Amino acid sequence: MRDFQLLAPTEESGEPFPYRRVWRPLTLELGLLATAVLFIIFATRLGILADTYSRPLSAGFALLPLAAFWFFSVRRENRALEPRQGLVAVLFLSIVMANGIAVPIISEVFTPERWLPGAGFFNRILGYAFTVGILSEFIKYAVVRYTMWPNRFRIRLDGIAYSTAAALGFATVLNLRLVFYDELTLSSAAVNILTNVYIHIAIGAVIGYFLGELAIGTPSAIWLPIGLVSAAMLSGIHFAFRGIAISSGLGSRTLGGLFLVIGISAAILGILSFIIESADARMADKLGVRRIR
Amino acid sequence: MSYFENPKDFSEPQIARRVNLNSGLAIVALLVLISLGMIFRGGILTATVPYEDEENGIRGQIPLNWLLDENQSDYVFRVEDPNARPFKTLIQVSLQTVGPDANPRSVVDLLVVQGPDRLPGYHVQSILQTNLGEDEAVEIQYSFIQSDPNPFLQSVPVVVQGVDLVVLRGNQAVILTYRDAVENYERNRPYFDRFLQTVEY
Repeated sequence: MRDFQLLAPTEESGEPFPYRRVWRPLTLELGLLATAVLFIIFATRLGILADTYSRPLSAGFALLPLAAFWFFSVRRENRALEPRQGLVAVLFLSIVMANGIAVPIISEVFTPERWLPGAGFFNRILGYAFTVGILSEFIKYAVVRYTMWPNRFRIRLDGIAYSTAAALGFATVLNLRLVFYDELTLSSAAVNILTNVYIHIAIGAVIGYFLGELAIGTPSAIWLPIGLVSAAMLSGIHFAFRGIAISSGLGSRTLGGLFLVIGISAAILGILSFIIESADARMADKLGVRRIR
Repeated sequence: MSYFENPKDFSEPQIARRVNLNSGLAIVALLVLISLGMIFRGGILTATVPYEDEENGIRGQIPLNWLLDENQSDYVFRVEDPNARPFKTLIQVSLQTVGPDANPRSVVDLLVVQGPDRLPGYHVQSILQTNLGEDEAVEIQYSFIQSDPNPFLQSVPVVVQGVDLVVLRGNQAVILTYRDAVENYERNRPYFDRFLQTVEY
């Protein structure tokens, strides 16, 4: 005779979740940016907006992710029962590190524009990952690791919250330089700004996951190196595929890169969300504690 | 525990040791990967392909991925870096017939005289006696102004620095030329030096 086990109904908790949610505000920030970019693309193609170089408009657009971050994350953080301290400090420290260290090294030492565009697909992956990729990800890692980690890490999602703030700071520096030095048309600037923000936040979240797991779980001694190398390789893979998407086109050259970065970012963030959720559930079972969601 | 709180005590020796190992190895990973990246970069930037022109008897290693142009009347071949800005870095080999009693210096004098007609703003900076392998050579350094012939591009003229290296081969002068925008001249000069190390004529 078969034994059947009854599933216990989920216990409703009266206790509120004490921390600010991470995934929802992040999705709103990224969604707002994507909506704004699509508006600009259609407005310029329909002739509502002139697709010319406009420094004020492009600069405003480059700062839009910061405004969205303040509105959806920083403002709500202050309303949480247990707010995360230092999110804005991480953002500004990342801006300083990106502008003071990463950009000079990339433009003066690595000079990727001299050797990567003409290289083959796998050479582009490795070349980008081992220079620009690893440096960018290490800076995001260092900003969080040597300021907030581990004292401010109470749950795994803290890693995502802090690292995406660092990634946003990094992307903002690239975007402002793009606006002030490259003189792109409005639609092109918008697409490039979105690309920078999406890919840096998605890959920064990978670093955040590895930092969060090191703070909460019991990973091996090579956990962080694995995280850094994985993040660097992901940026190399994005760079290599972006070259293909833009040059071959998925309907049009600009939109090819746009869809690619949205797809890659969604995949990375979705996978991370699943992994963190599973790890939290396993840990709750192991410790015998009740989860508040 | 009513909700997740970090249960770890980072002052525990085992945890502290693991954290230190992770942090140290992360820095090692950064250094190793960047070193590999720079080696990789050097390999791609200095990669060459063999070039051979049997008819004119010129052979050498030219930079990979540069654009090759040959069979023109005034040069044997020229290669240009298509990604270079504001002037496409150029290496060129040309031949000039000379008399039986000619020497490299007399060819250089001819180039100096012809220079202003061929290159706008031509200005000789130095003429040096040197060697190419075991052969005597004369090197002439000069600069000129490169303007885009298309007036609609509205580009600013570029100051170009160049070098012509002249060696004699029987009744022919082999003229090896390198030109680049003055701000990139020194940085890209190794391309020309590597070509000189491999050229056979």
